[in-house]
Amino acid sequence: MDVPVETLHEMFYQIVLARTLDERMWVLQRQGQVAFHISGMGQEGIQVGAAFAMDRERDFLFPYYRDHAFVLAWGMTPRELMLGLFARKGDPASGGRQMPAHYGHRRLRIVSQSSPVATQIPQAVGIALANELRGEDVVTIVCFGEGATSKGDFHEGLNFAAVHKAPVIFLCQNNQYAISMPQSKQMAIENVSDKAVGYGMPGVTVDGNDVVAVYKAVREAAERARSGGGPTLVEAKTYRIVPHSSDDDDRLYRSREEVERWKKKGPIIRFRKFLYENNLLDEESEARLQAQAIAEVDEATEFARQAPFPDLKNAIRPVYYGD
Amino acid sequence: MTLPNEDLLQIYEYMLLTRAVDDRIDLLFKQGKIEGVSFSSLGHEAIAVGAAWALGPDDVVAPLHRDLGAYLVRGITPRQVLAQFLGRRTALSRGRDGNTHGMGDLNLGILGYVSPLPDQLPLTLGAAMAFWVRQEPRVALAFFGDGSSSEGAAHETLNLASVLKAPAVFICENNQFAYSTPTKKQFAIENLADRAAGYGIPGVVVDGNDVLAVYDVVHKAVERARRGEGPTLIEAKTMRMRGHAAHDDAFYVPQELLAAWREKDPIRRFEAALRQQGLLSDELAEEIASRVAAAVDDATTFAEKSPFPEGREALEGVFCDV
Ligand SMILES: Cc1ncc(C[n+]2csc(CCOP(=O)(O)OP(=O)(O)O)c2C)c(N)n1
Ligand SMILES: Cc1ncc(C[n+]2csc(CCOP(=O)(O)OP(=O)(O)O)c2C)c(N)n1
Ligand SMILES: [Mg+2]
Ligand SMILES: [Mg+2]
Repeated sequence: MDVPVETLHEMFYQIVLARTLDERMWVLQRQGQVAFHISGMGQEGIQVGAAFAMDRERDFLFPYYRDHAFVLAWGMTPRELMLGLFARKGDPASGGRQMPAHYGHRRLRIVSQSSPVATQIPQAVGIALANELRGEDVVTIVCFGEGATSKGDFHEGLNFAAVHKAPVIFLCQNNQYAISMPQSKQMAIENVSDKAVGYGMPGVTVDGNDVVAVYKAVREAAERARSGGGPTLVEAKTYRIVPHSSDDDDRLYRSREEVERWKKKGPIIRFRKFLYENNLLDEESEARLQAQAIAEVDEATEFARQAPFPDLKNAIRPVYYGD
Repeated sequence: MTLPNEDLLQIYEYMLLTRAVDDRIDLLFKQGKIEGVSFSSLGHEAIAVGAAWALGPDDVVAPLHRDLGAYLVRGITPRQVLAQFLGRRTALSRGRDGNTHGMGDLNLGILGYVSPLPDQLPLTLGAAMAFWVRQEPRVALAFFGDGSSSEGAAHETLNLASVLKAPAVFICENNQFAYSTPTKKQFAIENLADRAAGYGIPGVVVDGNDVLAVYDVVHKAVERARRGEGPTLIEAKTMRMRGHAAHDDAFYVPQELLAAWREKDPIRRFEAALRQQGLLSDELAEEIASRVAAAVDDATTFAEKSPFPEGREALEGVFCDV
């Protein structure tokens, strides 16, 4: 499967944009301008690769809180993400009333995230089956961490999807930690994808720092789902190079050397090298992309900073559809 | 693994006793003497008796609703069982709960049945970890069904138990149905034991109608757990030979399927093996059968003569300070 050059370029820009936005969010949080940030740094390769492998005009996305790059590549704008971060009225997920990174976007078929880990998994299976029952040619993709695999929701969702051959892709972004809990204390196995046999669906593990590998694996899973072949469990292995959130100090539970070692294997370094080696990128165009990303993020930051807060009277409404 | 002849005959007698008590429960239900639901263990005798036989006296077991045999092996008497099903004050739950709900007895190492399935699994894991914390060489064993396997609690327990290397054994009794749901609508795989690979623990499929095979795999799993090597997932394949409970005529179960499984009846099979080895003569079989029949008759009389609880007793002894 060859990836068109144009797609590679687009993917690279999305990764750079997501990283630039994420860095800015950290700065804003450290400056006290916003309350909280949960970062997706290091996972952009998985998210952008997967987003481009889907049909972003039709398919459904159940992201999780680290999926900044995913939702950007899916069609959300830096402005929309910043509105959420600043808790402004114009935030498409909740009108500024949810925690940041609880994405939801009706027009883009991004289904609003619930805070309890793994609840999005059975929800995604439900949407996938609903689309199937309606005869829609739609695939649903749902993201979660390796920590989420220990939840009953993961098990019930995967089992039900396999029995009913739901057109859904389970994308586990295995970043080796669930807050301070390393994978070795989360499960007694090496690969999350080995859980797939227990449900009767294919399971694959890919290098999550290799955007093209992720793109291909998710593409294959999407084709399977679209042609009636049922669900797939895709495990993309990476590393969380940042603390769990802006409230976490990861020096308490892991060494700096470990973090630095993984930073060197990050998706941007990797993808950049690939593009340069194949003469698909040069310094001039890279500088142009960087400048463009910074300009977009600057603009979005200013826009959100000046945007109005939600009205107090709307604090508890609307919550349900039709409110 | 060879068991002493004496054990083999005792196992046989417990299987017969399980079936005789179960038949009597069915009869009493049909006579209108049992209120509410009445679960049958018909067909499950080899699993329950074989597994319970593999436990040591200090181990604990959390039986499922078809594991009458495990209750009996651990020391619950037929009198206690029938008093329980008839809702009498002389029962373990003092007549305030029915069937296997309320037959737990911690003195015998039996964890009480928990109604929402399969919440006995996390409970059993808790018991196993208590043994581990206290450094006691004890093992906790839990049963769950093919239907129960789809619940989140099954997954959370198996995962945590394998990470913690808990001294626990989990037996899935795959009896082809969960109420009216056949296994093909329950999961998309052939063997539930294959899930063990996803937890990094051994998974074993065993013929649930072969009592010695059950004993053998459970014994190995129990000893492995006792050595600190962690849990095992065992799938015992069998067939639910009556409806889900006595009120259910199981019209959805194909007759041919039942007929095929009837051919594999665990008691007839074990009896044939014992006779073939010359361990069971006609006289001995007769003696055992009459002992079993007498025990069931005695238990019936005892239970029927026992008083019902008074209304005011309903709330007594529910919480430890009441
Ligand atoms: C049911 C539940 N338990 C705990 C939490 C708190 N919590 C939020 S994120 C998280 C870690 C999840 O780890 P993982 O699934 O590996 O995702 P990651 O954050 O590593 O991307 C926890 C424990 C929660 N939100 N929901
Ligand atoms: C959480 C929960 N849902 C539903 C029930 C009702 N219920 C009782 S037994 C049963 C069937 C369970 O099937 P399985 O686990 O295969 O055990 P079996 O009865 O076949 O031995 C159901 C649905 C329950 N007790 N708990
Ligand atoms: Mg994680
Ligand atoms: Mg069953």
